[in-house]
Amino acid sequence: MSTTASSICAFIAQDHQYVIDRRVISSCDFSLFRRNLLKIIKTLNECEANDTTEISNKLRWLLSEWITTPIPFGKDLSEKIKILGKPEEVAMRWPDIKEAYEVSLIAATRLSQNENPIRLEIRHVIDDLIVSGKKFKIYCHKNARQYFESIMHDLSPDLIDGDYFIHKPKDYRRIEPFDVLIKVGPFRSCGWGSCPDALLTAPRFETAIQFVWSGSRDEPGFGLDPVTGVSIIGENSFDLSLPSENGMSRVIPWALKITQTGEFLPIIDEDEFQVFQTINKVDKRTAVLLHIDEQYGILYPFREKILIFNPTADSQNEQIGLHLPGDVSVSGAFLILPIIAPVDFGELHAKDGAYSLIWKKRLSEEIRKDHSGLCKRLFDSGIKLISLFSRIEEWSNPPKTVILAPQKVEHFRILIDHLGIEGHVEGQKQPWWQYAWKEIRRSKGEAISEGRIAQDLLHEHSLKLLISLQEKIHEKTKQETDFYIRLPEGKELQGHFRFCKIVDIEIDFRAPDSAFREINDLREFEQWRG
Amino acid sequence: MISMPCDSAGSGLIALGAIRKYLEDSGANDIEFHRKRIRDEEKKKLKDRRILLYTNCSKYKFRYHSNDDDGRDQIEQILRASKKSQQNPFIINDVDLKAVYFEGEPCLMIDNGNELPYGDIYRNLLDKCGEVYDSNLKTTYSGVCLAGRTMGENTTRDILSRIRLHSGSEPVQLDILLSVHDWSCEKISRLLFFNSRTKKIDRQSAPLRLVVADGDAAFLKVYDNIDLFGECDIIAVIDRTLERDRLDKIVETINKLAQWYLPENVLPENIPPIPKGISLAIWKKR
Repeated sequence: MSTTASSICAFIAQDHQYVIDRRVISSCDFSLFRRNLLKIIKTLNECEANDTTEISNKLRWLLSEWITTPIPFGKDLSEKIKILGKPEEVAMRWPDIKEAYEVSLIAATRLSQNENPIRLEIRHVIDDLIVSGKKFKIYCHKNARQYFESIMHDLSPDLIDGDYFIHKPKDYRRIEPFDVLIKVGPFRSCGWGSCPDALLTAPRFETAIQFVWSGSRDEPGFGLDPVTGVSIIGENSFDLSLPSENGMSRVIPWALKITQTGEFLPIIDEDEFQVFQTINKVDKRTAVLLHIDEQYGILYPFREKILIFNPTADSQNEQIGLHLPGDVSVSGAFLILPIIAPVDFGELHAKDGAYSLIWKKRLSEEIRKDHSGLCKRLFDSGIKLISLFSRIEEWSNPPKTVILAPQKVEHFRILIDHLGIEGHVEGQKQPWWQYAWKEIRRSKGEAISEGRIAQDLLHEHSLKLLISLQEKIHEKTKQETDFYIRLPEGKELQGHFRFCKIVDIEIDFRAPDSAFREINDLREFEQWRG
Repeated sequence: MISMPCDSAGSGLIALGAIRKYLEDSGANDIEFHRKRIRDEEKKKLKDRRILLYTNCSKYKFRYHSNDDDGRDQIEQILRASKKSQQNPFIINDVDLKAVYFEGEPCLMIDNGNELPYGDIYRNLLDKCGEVYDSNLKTTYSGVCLAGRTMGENTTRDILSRIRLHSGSEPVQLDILLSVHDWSCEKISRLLFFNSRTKKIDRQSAPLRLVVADGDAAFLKVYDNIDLFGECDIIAVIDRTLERDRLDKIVETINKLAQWYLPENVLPENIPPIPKGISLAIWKKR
């Protein structure tokens, strides 16, 4: 049941003392670990090689997660940074980061011997809140929920069944007032650890207990009131703005209470997100991630209009249209992917991909024979990917929402060469692997149009065709969440429209052009979280 | 511009306040504009003229015929396709245009006894305000507009319908009190509705005096539509619990406004103190 405007306004009208209770945690080992990892990330990011950038992105993703969630350190910490390889290989390939890598590994080993101090602090706080009978909520990304739940499980297994979590601005809007909000990481409007400005501009609680690692700073300008342009977090990020005095607005007055816990640090920690912001700006655009099921999604530039079918629209005329991805309603809307081509590949669906059946069968055989050997041969031939061993296994899996395969065309060609599949498709000039590659691209929703049809023109033609198919589409959406509709014969465009039900939308991404408009595993997009 | 700490029916309540204000104004009606609109039909080709209905002869449909030398208006019956070959259309001479209205739109005026039935609620809505001008409860007015949510007309109506007002009688839903033509069974309307999703208004209007935008997206649509809203006042009610990108769009638009508008820093005397958690910004043309 959604809350009402009256209950929110009545809560705010009371004389609450709004407090941000900031608990700053310091740890010498974690500080050392962060500092050296950041150096590695910065250095690798400046290298030109693709796989190096990929490693840098992956490490950035890991570090962002470690500083914004109460993740248990355990053995995972050193295991995860070993994607760089053995220390001697790292020393040979990137001498600049040799020392930083060695120090990181030592710090990671030491950290793994003790519990993450943020987890200890959270456990104490939750225990106190339960004893004092206060209603509390935790704001975190849905992927971070498991870490909080493991803390709560230690306190009492029954706690996990409680309704303690808020993951999205939409959830926050619906919530009834409560006493205390728990948040890990700085207040940020987008990216890792992001939360709605409304936590501070429209509080549903009196106290925010915020756990941050030393050096982490709130985003300047967070807690924005769009009408007055005033933000709760000032430019210095430690300042809180004062209530407006001109009588035109009554800003919520927050008090800041800071408590330092942990070890004394001889060096002040750097704010990683400030550094990442600089790295992220290069050749990247703000992006929106549409989830099309629990495992897959597709990324679009923030300002690019996409084709949407909304069966719940007020009128039939409004069901099909072009919308900005951030404006799309999650309740029942379908993303429409025009898969247009001059060559007809028959009834195309990832599940029955004709070419993928052949190469995936061959790949499975090779894996069974010698998984490690195949991995080494592919790496030496140029597929220099981190965790190649597990990826090969993923590629051999039968097609589901998409045909899992290497992301790059050169990697796919190398793979097919090593599988020994040669020759041409009967009656066609291009080699076999090129048709197999096209099949993969289409399963990922790419609008293949031989580069001749501009996006706008494609949308214009598609809209006309879609309107003529409206009834058929409507019927299909009642039964299926992912389906294809073939374009009528004799029209200017030939091919299919793929319809994928949108189950969730996230807006916190900055990604390069190569990451857009392609269905992928949701985990692949984590590296582009802002 | 008003920023709210939650989603609310604030825009509907403000629109209701505006309806109340213009009920006090004897000139707040569409009579002159209506007459001009119907006479302008004569400039169109016969087949393009819009269908008219006549309250005194409700069985038939008409189109505007002409305005004769003596200034008398004539309307001509539109024959149904099946009747075309059998009879000639009849013409009504010297018709009172106040009794004629466009199909799909509200009547201009209605008889005694058929006026908006919520006079008591309108009259008792606010302290310290003028008398309701009774004939306004029987006349359509299109000077005030509500710009609905971009999620669609039904979403706007749904949230407004959750507010009920009463004055001694049975409670009446806010959406009904607003007298939007398609939402109410009343024959006249005192509020124009702009569908922000389709960017269409529910009838043509005389120059607008005020538009109330329900939400950030509706405000942006209103702001961009200079043809319709370029000359009127705008009140926007924005829920600040929205995602950051949407808040940023509003800030960007307000920054653009600063070229032509100046912010007011003092709350006008006729506005009561702002409740805690609500903020207000007023911008006036330079």
